[in-house]
Amino acid sequence: MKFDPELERRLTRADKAVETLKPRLGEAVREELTKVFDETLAELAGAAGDSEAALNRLRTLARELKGNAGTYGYEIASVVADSLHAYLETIEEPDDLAIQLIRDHRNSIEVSMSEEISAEDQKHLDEFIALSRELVKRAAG
Amino acid sequence: MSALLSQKLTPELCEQIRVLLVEDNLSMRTLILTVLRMLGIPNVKGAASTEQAMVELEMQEPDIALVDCDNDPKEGPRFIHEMRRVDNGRHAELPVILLSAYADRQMVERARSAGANDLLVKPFSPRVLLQHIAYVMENPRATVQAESYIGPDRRQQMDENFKGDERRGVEGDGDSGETGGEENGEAAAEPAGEESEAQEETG
Repeated sequence: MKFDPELERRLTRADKAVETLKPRLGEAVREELTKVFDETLAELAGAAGDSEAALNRLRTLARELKGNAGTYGYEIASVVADSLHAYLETIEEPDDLAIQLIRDHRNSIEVSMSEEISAEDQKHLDEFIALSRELVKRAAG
Repeated sequence: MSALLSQKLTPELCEQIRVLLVEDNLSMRTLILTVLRMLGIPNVKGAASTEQAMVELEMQEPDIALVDCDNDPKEGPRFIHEMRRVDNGRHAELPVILLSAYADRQMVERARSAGANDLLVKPFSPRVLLQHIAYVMENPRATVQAESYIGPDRRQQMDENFKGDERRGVEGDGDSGETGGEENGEAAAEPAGEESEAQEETG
């Protein structure tokens, strides 16, 4: 869809502004995300706290990250978040959670939001995404 | 209905549009606000919660609302449902675009049932955002106001020959809003299981 020439010029400027903003916003998201992930995982791993609320917080985190990370240009993080969300949707009780699997997703998301991803990291990420999807498929029955 | 609806989206029109943006995530709110301003849409009110958005709606009459629902997939649709009922439908005709990372059938049905005009799936680019704004502004849909549903007419087919009691615009229209043209194919495009909407219409 083509717009009026002036709107097209504004779109070009908006694209550039988004490109400029993305790294800063991405950094803020990454910091916030790792903090919330770590707090929530600590809560789920320990006996204290409301584990049901922690599980819901993880679901929200994964859902938001799926959309937002992609908008900031972190497509792989978005895919991993989608996979995590799909896994969390198969969980009925917090006790059913595989904490290590959540940690693996958290670490994969952190790596995929790095400024540069090495070829080796990329290979590991691809393998992890495939494994995660397979696990979700099995968990969903 | 906003005087800006049904007009082709031009740079001049962009400068007049008042937007209500409901997005809880600060980074995403900043990004969308920046994009809208770069597109020459300076009149944007950002709300971090649906409660704040309700307060904003009391203070201003936006021409369009962008409502994110990823924090809680039920919250955005619930907000739209409630907002449509404020002051006997004061915002019944307000074009609303729901923003979500998910576009599965459940999400689409929730959005439609709540009275959203459009669903914009994340991630999106400035161009895609502007396309959705242009679409809902340039093509306002007839509004249905009934007991069970207030919002844009969801039917995609109209049967001009339908003569039922609840045919819109005929005397003796019922107000139960639960039957009508559907039997005669008027609502053929409705998803299975979707609640049939009323035949009353405003505007």
